[in-house]
Amino acid sequence: MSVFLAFVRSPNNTIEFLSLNRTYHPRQLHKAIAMCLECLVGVESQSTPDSLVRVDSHSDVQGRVLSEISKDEAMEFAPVGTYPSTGIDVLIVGTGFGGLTAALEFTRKGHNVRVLERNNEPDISGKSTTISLNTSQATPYLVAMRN
Amino acid sequence: MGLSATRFLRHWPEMKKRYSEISLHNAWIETYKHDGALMLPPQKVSDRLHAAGLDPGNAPGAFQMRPLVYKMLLDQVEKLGIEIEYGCRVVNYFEREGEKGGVELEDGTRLEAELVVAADGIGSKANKLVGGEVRARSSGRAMWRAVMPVSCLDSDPEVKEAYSLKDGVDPIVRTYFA
Repeated sequence: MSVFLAFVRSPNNTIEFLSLNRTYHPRQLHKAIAMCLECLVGVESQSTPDSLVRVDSHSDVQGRVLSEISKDEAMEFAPVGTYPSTGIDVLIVGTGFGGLTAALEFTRKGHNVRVLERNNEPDISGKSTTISLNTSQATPYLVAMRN
Repeated sequence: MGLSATRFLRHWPEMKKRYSEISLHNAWIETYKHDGALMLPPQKVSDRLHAAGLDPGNAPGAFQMRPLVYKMLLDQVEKLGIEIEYGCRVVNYFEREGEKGGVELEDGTRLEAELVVAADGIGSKANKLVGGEVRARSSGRAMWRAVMPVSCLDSDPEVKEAYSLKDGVDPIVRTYFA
């Protein structure tokens, strides 16, 4: 039994094996985590090069051929406690926004997390508000800057 | 935070509530040149979104103070009883085909897991495993950030006037371009 990782492809909300039919490939898997934390799921299955799976609850993934999965289905409300324990150990290095969010979400998905931080205490400092890229694109001041 | 970064809050009702509480609602925004000349007069952020054809109720982002967002996450982590092991400096990441990956700590301890998340920022020791090491280099630009107690503003009438709330009520974001 192998552990694979899968992620939701947003155009059609399907789940696709990242590792395809190649051997276990940690490098790709690490990258996938960064790309799609929200939808990361552990998959226990035999996969084929183009195998797609349907995810009913994100916790019980079978190697069934995908028919269709709606966005609402994929985003069903699933608070912590929804998913059974997977027994998968996740080691998280760093406790910035990314590390803490990963700790919460992996816990919610039923994985065991262990969190490391090099500093001796939490750093709750911070000196600014942040405008996301999307927000900044919604504002017209870049045009005004050219004048 | 950008809208897409908040999607996961749907699974965390308490954080979602807190997120709403710490977000600046009714915010205004105005933009100046570096010499103080006004480039764009104060506008409600929601109006700017409308003008851009976007729905303010589903805005692409919202303003928060970073410490408040961080505290929101930290409180939730603590509430779940997730222990953060402080004082653990990772000096190396390792992975071997078909085996668990892991990290090596400063004191030589090796920790393994099925999944290792390198959330340790730019210059992470994990870079060599996931596409090459990336070193920070100067862009030739500088950014300066500062935070100060409100009392500092209050002590100088001109500063207090310049950095007052919009109409004495609403929060306002002032940006300056140089």
